Amino acid sequence: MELDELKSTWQRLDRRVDELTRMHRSMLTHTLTRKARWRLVPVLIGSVLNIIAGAIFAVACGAFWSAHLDKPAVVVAGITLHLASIGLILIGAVRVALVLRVNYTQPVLEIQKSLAALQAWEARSFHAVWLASWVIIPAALTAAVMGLAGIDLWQVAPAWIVANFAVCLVGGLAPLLLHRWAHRRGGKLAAWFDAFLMNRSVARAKEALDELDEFARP
Amino acid sequence: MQQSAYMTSEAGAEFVTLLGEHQRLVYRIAGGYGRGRADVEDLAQEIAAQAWRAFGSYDPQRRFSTWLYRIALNVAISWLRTEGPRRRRSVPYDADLHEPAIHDEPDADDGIRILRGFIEAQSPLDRAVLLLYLEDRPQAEIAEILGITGTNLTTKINRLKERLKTYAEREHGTR
Repeated sequence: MELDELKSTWQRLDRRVDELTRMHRSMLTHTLTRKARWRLVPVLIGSVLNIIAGAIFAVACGAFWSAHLDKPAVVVAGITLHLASIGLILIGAVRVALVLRVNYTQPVLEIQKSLAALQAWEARSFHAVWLASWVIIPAALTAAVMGLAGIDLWQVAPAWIVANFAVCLVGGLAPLLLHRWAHRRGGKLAAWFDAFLMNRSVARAKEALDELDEFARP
Repeated sequence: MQQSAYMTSEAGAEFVTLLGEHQRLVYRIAGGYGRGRADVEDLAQEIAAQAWRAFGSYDPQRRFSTWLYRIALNVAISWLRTEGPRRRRSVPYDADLHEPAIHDEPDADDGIRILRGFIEAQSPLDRAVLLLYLEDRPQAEIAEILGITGTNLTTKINRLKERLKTYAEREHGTR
């Protein structure tokens, strides 16, 4: 069979298309206002909120640690939180830039690349936020105790801080390590971890980008 | 980003007219990516909605069909990558939902079955090349819609021809 024979078969399907277009002559335009919302709007709103929250935290953290320069542990905690806030701003800003690149009227290859890059960024930034949110817990506690009670936790209970940090590090890393172990065993547990850690999204995005690269090559 | 320009009633009327004239295009592309009638209708509405959103940036000096093909294919490919697998996983078989799509004629002959199977066997991007070829679009327009070079497109069409031969022989013993 030749491709041109397929083309004539495709043209024969006009009857079916006519039937569908006749049935829905008005439906396409009548539902426009209800459906004409951009699917990426929630992502854009979420990212802007990320940036705003990050900026507020960054200003507050900067003011906090610079006011406690005589207490090294508080400064370290403050700078850790400050860096986390800047990270939040960067993640939001990159996401906004990637979302703004998506314009469905541009060539197919270009837009599909932008969408795959956005998907990959979403999944990777989830990993970064997951790990960071565990690691900053001791820093947040140190800053909160200093801010609310004026007590330098490191001076009072250094062992507690170290233990807390170790627990949080394990808490952050455990799912990643368990995921490796589950993958060696296979089965449902590995699939559950893939979904939980968005690894499937990373893999799918990588697959899509590879496919797009291959498509762009003659 | 697509500018959601304020749509005057004049622009709205113009869009409705243009979409009406190109409604078959929308359903053909939706039919090439959707699995059943429910999919095709949902996808066609999504394409129309995205076209409406982007209509503020449409340049009347350019062909409306080229502009609409880009939107239709971008929406359909994205839909296939996200909604498609999700629906196949979560929606159990239901005769009402899985009514035949535009290429699923109840009395389908061998040609239509080969056409349907071959389209579904292609990756989302190769499917775009195939559908535009079947739509009888000039190669220059196909290359412009997809954003690839003419040489690349020729290579892809030749590969599709080879693949079709193998597919028809393997699946249906047709030459």
